[in-house]
Amino acid sequence: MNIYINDLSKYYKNKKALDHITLHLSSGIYGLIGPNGAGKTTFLSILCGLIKNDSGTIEIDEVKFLSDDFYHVFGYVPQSPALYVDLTCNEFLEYICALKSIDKNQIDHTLKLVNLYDQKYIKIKKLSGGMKQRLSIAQAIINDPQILLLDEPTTGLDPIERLRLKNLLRNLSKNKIIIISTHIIQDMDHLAKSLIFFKNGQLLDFKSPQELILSLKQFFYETIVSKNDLQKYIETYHVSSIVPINDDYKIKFFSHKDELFPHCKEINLEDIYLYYYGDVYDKR
Amino acid sequence: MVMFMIKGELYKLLRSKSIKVLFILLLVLNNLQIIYVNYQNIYGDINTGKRKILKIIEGPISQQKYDWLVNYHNTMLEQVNNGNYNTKNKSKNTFSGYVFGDEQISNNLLEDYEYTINYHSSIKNKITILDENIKKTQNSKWKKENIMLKKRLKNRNLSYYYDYTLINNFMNQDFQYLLSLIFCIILVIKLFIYEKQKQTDLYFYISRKQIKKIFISKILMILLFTFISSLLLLIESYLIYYFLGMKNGLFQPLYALSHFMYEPYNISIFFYIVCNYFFRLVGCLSFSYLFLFLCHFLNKEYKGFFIAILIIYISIQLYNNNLLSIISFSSLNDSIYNQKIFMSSLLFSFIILNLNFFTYFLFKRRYYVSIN
Repeated sequence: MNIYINDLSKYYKNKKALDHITLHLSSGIYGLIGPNGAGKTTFLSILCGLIKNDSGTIEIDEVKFLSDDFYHVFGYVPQSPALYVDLTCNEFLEYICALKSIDKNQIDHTLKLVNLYDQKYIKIKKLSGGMKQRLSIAQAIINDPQILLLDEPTTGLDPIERLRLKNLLRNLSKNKIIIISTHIIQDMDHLAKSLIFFKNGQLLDFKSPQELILSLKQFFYETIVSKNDLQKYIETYHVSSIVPINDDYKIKFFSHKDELFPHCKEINLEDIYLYYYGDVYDKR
Repeated sequence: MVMFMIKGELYKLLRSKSIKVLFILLLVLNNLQIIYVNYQNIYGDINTGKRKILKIIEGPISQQKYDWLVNYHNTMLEQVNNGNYNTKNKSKNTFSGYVFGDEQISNNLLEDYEYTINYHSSIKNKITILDENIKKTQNSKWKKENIMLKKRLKNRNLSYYYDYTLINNFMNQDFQYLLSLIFCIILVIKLFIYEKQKQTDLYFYISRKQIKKIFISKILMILLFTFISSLLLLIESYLIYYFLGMKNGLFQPLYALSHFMYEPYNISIFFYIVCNYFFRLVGCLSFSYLFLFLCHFLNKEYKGFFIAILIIYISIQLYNNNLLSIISFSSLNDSIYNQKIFMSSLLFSFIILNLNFFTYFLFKRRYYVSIN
């Protein structure tokens, strides 16, 4: 399955939420990266037909996207799990099955997939945060959608639950397009096929993590500075990591200019995030 | 699939602790209100005395019972007129323990008993007046109405006497309908505003083609729960009144009650109560659908509560000032006299239908305008 997004724009009154986005997505996991207000939720909402775009087109397998006809190919996991907490997992999924017009015999299989089968008859309000998130994913995948959209699924989860979630998404990703919106870029490490960077509604970059690391490595430097000089470096450069070494500090920073410092041997996705959005946080 | 959707909506409401607690609270309030209103009719020596006398005279009317009541009343009256009574100490040979008390009770009961005995002759007089009207009137519409009324009043007779004090109170029990209305509005808040607040309405808009079914299942739930809740409140009221002493007379004709003397419909008191229940139910649902329409503009529960209270308050004020005559259907008594029951019902069904249509239209489009 392929999604072709051409020149997609969305405005809220006079504010530009999405600005001429063009993307081609095929099967695999994609990380939609950006700080708050970058346009991630708007992008996902348009894709699953929750809101209408002002201009541009979306084509799925070269067929023009009409939300009413394609609703069954999408599964959407909202930002915070919107669940009916008084219902049991089974009752909730039965209701979702009715909404999606599918047979309810999918429930057991889906609950097993998200590792919640033992909680089938437990009320949702008694589930942990991670379990609720998995149930939220269960409602999205119960109709075996070809495109799965997850809006900040890892927010508020502990490391073990994050790992569990990543494994689940990896298992689900076969022959599916999964778009995960997040501002926690580490979550995409060894998971996403490509990363899509949004900033102020614009597409900044769209590359695989390896390509990004290779192309941006040249802008990162590392050096050892004394405690007295540390503050000066922080103010001058975008410092992405500070590691204390005895009385000094080993810092990693990026600069668009050629600096007289040695280049970093390794950079990670957090460094890339800082590269793209460091200025956003500076302004705050 | 629609059944599962309805089942889902049903579970949402049945599993909700707030709905259950609220309903129990409404039942308790209803209970307390009935006891408060009838306190004077249940407790005290006068009521004990009245019940004892009623045991003698209630049931099929007879000359023997009437004579006994007249004699007893005259005896008590004589003692009162002679000043032969004591208001401080109880006297023997009285039902309430007081001569003056028994005189008052027997006087009231005698009036009621005479109404029952004389009903047939009162109707005869009324028919004579109607006959004269039919002869004299030139207006064909009035003539037709008078002929119809005469036909309905003919052959009316009362052969049983019961005390209708508690039945009257039960029939005028409006508080339970106010409670039903509150419950109905809470249902609307739970099924519509709460979903927006918790963002669970997202699932409806993703499912796209199902929106109509979702809306219908929610409307059905409001209908079903309002019906059941108001029925339970009515049954509760009936049971309380039953335990307070309203054991007989429910299946007597409506005209057995003095203020329904010339009531044109030959229905029983019980049937009147059932009709009244359904008409009030329509009134209750009309308000909830009006509120549902306003829900489109609300996304927080507390705003819903505030608006609901405001609507109820304004409606009661308008109704009390006769400005809401359009909802005359909610008072079956008025409607029967005006003979506009069916017209008002049709009009309201039409308004509700249109209101639901617009509400559905807004419901369908809501997400497009409210996100971010």
